[in-house]
Amino acid sequence: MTRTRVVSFSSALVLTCAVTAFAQATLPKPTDGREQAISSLSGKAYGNIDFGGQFSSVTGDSARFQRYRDLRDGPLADNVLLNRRDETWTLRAAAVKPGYRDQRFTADYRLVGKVKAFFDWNQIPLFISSDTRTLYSEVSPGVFRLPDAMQASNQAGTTTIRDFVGSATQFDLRTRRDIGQFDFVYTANRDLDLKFNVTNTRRNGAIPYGASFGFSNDIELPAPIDQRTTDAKASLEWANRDALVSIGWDGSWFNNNVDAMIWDNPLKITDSPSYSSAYSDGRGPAQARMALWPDNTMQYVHGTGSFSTPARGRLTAYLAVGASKQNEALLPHTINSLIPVVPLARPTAEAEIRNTMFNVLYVARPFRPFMVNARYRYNDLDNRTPPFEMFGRVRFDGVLDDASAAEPPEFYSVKRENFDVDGTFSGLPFTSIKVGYGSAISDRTFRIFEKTNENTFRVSADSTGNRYVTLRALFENSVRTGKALDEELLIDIGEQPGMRHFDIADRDRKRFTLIATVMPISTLGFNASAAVAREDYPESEFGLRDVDSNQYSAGVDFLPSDRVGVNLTYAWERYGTLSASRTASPGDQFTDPRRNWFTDYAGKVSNIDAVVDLAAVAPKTDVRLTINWSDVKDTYTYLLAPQTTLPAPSQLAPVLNELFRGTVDVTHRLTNRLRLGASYWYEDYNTEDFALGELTLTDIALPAVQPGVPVVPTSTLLLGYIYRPFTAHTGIVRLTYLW
Amino acid sequence: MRRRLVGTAFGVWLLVWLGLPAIASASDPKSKGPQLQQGYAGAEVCVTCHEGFDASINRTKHAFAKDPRTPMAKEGCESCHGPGEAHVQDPTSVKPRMFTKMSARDVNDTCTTCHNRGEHAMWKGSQHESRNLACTTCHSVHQPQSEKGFLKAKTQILLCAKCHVDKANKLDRSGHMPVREGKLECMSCHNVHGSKNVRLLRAGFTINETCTTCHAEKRGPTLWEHAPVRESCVTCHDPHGSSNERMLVAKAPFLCQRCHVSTRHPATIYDKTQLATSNRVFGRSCVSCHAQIHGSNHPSGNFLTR
Repeated sequence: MTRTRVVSFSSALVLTCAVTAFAQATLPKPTDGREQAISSLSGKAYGNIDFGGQFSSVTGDSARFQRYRDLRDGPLADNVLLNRRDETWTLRAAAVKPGYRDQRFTADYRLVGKVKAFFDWNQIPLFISSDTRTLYSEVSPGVFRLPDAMQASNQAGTTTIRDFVGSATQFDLRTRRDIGQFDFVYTANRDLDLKFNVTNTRRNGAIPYGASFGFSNDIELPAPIDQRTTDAKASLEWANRDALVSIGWDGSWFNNNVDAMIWDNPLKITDSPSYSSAYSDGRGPAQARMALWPDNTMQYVHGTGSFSTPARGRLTAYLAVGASKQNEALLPHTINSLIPVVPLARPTAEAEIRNTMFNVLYVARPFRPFMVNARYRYNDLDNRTPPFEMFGRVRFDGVLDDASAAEPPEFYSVKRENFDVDGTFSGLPFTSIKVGYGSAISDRTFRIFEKTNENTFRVSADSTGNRYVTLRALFENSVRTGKALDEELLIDIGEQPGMRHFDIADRDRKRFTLIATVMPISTLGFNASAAVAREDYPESEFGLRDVDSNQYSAGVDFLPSDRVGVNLTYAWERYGTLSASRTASPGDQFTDPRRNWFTDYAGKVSNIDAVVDLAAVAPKTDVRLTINWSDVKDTYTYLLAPQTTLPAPSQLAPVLNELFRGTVDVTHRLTNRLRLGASYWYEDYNTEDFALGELTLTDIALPAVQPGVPVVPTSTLLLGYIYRPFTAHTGIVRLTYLW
Repeated sequence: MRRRLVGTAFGVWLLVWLGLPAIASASDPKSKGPQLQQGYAGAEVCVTCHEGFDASINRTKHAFAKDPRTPMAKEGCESCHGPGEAHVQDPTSVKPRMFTKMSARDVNDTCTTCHNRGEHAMWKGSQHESRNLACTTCHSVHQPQSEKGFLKAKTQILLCAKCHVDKANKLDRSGHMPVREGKLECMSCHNVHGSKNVRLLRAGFTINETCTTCHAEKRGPTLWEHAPVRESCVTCHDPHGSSNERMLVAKAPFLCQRCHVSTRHPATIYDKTQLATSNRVFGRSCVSCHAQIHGSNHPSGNFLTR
């Protein structure tokens, strides 16, 4: 019986396979007028539009549920498409969710062989929080005030911040990007294009932002976002089969309409003169001021040349020269009226970075099965900002340091050179084997290693094009070493001399990846992947010491007929890091290894993605089911050195993030022109976060009153932006008209 | 006033709708169509057997015979599949160029005959080409699944996830860019056909220059800079997604403590006992005070607090 089943099943699969193979020789012909319009250059207009509505029910964090979407209840006129094509011109205009915060409009016009014009209007909302509350009023952009009575009574000690929390007002914390883009290409002749692009991005709203008066007086504010970025590009490109030459110019201008943020101190109504601990014991200023993101510009001119060479080769070179500039007026050192004015070295920033980029790529195939590929990249970020002399500084608007304690700014420059060479042998059927070497040299200023050199050896094997098996494997070994170590830089700022910044520290890295796909028959495919990586930082006594990651996935694709498609993928990932530190004050403690401690991080991730497509599951009805599950558990464990003198730490709870999404989409064809559709989305997000969760951030005024614990004076005033779960049901109904 | 605006808008739309064909026909290059060379059969002959392929190609830009850069302006089907006259005479033993049976190298050589400019100018020698990927690994001209780009999957994410599943999975994390919401695509940041930047990034010459195309406020240069920020955004952020706030690669303060081991507060164990009382561990952690972590333009901003 079992044997019969196996034979029947195998026969069915073979038949299905044969049908599919036959289908490759012909393709379905257009069946109706609309399909014919799409599949011809007849000039007949066609398009579609959805009429309907969307409805959501959310329990929990409605902001995180919507995040980059606008899922408010309401009517929809969605997926509007207008298309017209003939032999000489085409026009495509589309609109997605017009009237909603995430609306998008595009228009694409082509005069065949002459002109391409594209316009895109894309709104991206970011709903950050609807839990947020504040005691502050924004009296003008970037200026946040508190009631004087609150500041006065808090200063007098008759009240604390906690006494006023009840009068905080709720507000939605969100931003939105409105991106307008216009591309234009004029084709002068078969080989020459003139290209122009302009993109304008307006960003408005507010984001949660730290605005501290010091350790024990920590404020969070909705920092105003009122920014515009304008990018423009123009280029001329000439290309034929054997060569390409292009020249161009890119420009970008960022403008921030709110240059500074000013906010009241909830604990003070009057300024205090400088005092050594002012910022840590509340004897600071009545208000503070912070410089927000300065206006800046960036411009480049660039050119590319690419030519065919003997031995079936190609030589491509790219050169760009440009600069980033920022010359915003500098704020005074402090807004505290009782601290003497500290002179500024100059009134504006005069910051400038000159950038030179050079890229040469040579590819050749001297013999048919052998390819050589060499690339050299040079990138020089040369910071030309003039030295800025410091005549003093003011910490947190509360503490004045004289010039001897105020180090001047260090303007980082970095010069990078990369050289890669690969040899690829593809003599075996469907298979190529690649062996390569790469060198990355970086030359920096003002960092502990002025120079780093990373050598990478890699070998890969790729078997593709075979209809039954695809195999990809890569092994890579990199060794990065730093030169001209300057431990004085660490000692000067009180760092442990054995600490190494992990982004430039000596590092040994090994990486292996494998991807395999097996398709025994054309309707059934299995895939699996594995990626393992290890990073060691052998010279780092402190700081990040090692990183490892393991990623595995397995999946199946089953397409038994044109009507049924099933895809299932499961992935499991594990990440780990170990970093070392030492709790120590200057003196004996500083060199005492018994005060060492470590953070052992472990992240475990599981992912399931499933899609089931059922076409014509009922008469004239298609159904699509999807499931998407992501489960992440991050654990940070403190470890102590042997013979430790530190108290045993109380471990933090793991950070949990779990998202489940299930969707059902049903479409029923009423007529050739009319379709009725309905979608249901179920989304469930669970989170536990020791730092940003509900159990810790119990109020906007912190520390909170804890049962059985003596009341700690409240000095932290947050916004109430927290991570909390949500469960949401969304329904969308639509009537689609096609013409 | 509103009626006038609506009327004007409608008038403009009507003018465009009716006028574009006129403009188009006025600039019609009057192509005479392809002149077939010896050994070529012509597209009309191909579709007598290969039914439906004419309709599939007509959906694409390949079909515009009046654009001298398209296959239909040259030898039609045979521009890509090679001369077919011999195949017409002996369909069984003489086969035209079939992309499913060609090596990646030969497929790519065929496509890059035309696709050698703009987006595709740096394909030769790119990471994908050198890993034996063919254009047809990702694209299908005749049977695409996507609305644009002739992709073999419905979306870019689904296509790229076939090899880069770990990156696609990160889009499901709580901190992510609006890719799964359809506002960005893989190709928004990457040019998978080759790039002058590292990691096939589309814009600029460094990772940072790609990031600051959208996050221009962090471009600087500023008076006080944070060295690793100038070095690379991905030192601290995972652009594909993370469970941490702001897509950080690790949670603060642990991320900051990977580099800051100086005396006093940076090198302190912030454990559960301090959770309720220390703003160095709850909420925004280190960036509660060091808010200008990407760089400060305040003259007293050396600790990135102003």
